[in-house]
Amino acid sequence: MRHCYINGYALIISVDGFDSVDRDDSKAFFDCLYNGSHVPRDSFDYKKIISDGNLRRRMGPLVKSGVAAGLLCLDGVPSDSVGGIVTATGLGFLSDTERFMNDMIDRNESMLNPSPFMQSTFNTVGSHIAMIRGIHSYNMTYVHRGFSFESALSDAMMLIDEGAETVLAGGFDEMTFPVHKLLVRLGSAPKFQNGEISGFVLLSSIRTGNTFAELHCVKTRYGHFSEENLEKWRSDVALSYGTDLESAGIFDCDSSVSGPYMTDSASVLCNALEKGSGKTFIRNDFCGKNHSLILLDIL
Amino acid sequence: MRDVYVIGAGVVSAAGSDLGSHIDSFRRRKSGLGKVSLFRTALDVPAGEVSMSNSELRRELSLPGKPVISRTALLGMKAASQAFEDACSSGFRLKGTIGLICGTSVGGMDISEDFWETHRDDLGEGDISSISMHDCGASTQAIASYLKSIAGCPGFDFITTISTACSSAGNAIMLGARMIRSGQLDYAIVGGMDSLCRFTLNGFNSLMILDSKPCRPFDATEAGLNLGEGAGFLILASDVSCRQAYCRVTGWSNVDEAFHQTGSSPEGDGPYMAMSQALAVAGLKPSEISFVNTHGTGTPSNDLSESSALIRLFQDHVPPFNSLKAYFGHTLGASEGVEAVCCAAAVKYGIKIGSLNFSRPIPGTGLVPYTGFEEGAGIDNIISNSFGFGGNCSSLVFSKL
Repeated sequence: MRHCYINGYALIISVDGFDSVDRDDSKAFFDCLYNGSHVPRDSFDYKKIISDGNLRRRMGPLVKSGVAAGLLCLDGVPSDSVGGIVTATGLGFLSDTERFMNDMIDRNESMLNPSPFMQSTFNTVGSHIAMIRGIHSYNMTYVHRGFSFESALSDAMMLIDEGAETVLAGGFDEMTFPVHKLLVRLGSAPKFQNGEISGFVLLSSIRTGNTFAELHCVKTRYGHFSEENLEKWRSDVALSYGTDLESAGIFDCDSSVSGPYMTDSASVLCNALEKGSGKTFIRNDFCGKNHSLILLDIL
Repeated sequence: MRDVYVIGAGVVSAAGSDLGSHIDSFRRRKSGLGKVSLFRTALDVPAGEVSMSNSELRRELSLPGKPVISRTALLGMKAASQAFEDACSSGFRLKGTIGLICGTSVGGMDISEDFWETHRDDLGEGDISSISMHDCGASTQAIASYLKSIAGCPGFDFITTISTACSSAGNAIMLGARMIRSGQLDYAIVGGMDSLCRFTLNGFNSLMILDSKPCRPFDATEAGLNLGEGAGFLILASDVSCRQAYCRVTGWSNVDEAFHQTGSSPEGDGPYMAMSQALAVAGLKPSEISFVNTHGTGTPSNDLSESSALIRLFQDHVPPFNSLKAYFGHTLGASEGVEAVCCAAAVKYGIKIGSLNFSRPIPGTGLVPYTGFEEGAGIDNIISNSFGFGGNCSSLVFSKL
């Protein structure tokens, strides 16, 4: 495998209703973490990132958040050096999906506005980024529960190995009050009730002065296993990269701000890049069936 | 770098319940398009429904009445298990690292839309388990469990789901091929599945690209597409000793036209780039292509774009080409799964499949699709295209062994 570096990252969180102790339950929470610094809410402006006003106004909340995080990551990167845009989402653009569904029912299947339908397509963020930046290379979207972002990241690494110079990879999901209610009934609701989280990383085959980490591997494992069995699997992965779990920093998806959330590993990776150092694992065991490990070396 | 072989194939669509019945439909030039009968809709447009109801599919797959399974997953189970059994009957045993990669655009929307209509005003009501299959990954995991329940099918070392609108299955096949080539997988079950539902039918209707008559790809009178449903899966393998294989997957590409969210450039930039790059991966010259299975949806925008690209790439020597959409409709995320199975069979048996509903060419392009049917024709290399919303353009090359 060619070496694969993380040369940029961007995380945009804009959510309501955390039930954790350190965040005020009743207040909306916003954070933008971009290449190591937090952009204060006052100076964060979607208009500066997505300058086409008509396009921006048509975007649903998650499309806007995802496109903005992706564009932040690509800031300063020449479009013709981008060998791929690989995105991930578990549930996609829920607000747009609900809007089109409600229109369809209320208007008895006639005279419908196509915009929310178009935006409900899972590859909308990836294709908007491609259109805005004129990037004609590989464009892919993964939609597999707790493996969505892991699949995207592992495809992005494969593209680097196949010769790409730079690849953008990201994961995003949103929550709406109605879907949150349904997920509570299913016993798997995230800790926030409404809002969106988008996390992107910029992978590169070239190590520069701005490199944040080297990405070693993304491993997924599907099915129910005993904890002992999983621990052995994790140790074996660690061992094959010359390390062990005890001496590496571990970031768990279930302990992050977003709780059980399909593309949580994207935001956990961004947080790890900010807070972690040295050999680091991102560990995910989504719904006890989608197990994954991301191993990186944070510089 | 390892070669990639197709060793099994399975398909279900409005044109038939397996590969044999598809070939029979092509031979008899019989379209499976008709009125929507399996669900309630206010729209009166032709569609390509799979003739079996959910309960008939469950009975055939020996799945008991509960739990909830989306139609998308049922169609996928049928096609994927056919592909698996096809490979087994040719003497293959899947061992080593095995992947399952599915493409879909709607996932379990067929169930969710009913739940939403009934319970959106009081989300505390209704059988909550019926929405547990809404997300796309749920359908893939249901297919994985079903395949594992078939004797001889081991578990999966890699499993994922792709959704790039109408090129989803094409991209699933491409990912499987790349992972086999690089040695990450020994076998890959790849393809796509989508069921018809009111959500997508109304979505395409809102874009005003549905034809109220059967679609007429590449015809001067073409006025839109018809939606369909179905599933198609291939078993890919790296085993170079395969003598019973269908063909090889030699070329692939995924590019983004970056032109318009739902439209195609009249110059065909995306399709041209996709086909050119797939040829480059395959190491083939345009003159070595025997046949092109176009995306050919029947919308003037797609067909003009694709025609322009064919003329740019092949100039005065455009090979025979077809569109299969008038047989089973545009099956969206499943489309390249269904059509890749047809292409694999076309290479293996030397079948040229003809387009339906063509009488005179689009003014300006003058391109005339192949409209006959021929067996034993000798086909060396087929390009198969699938294009989706967001400018996603994917091309695959299937080559004779």
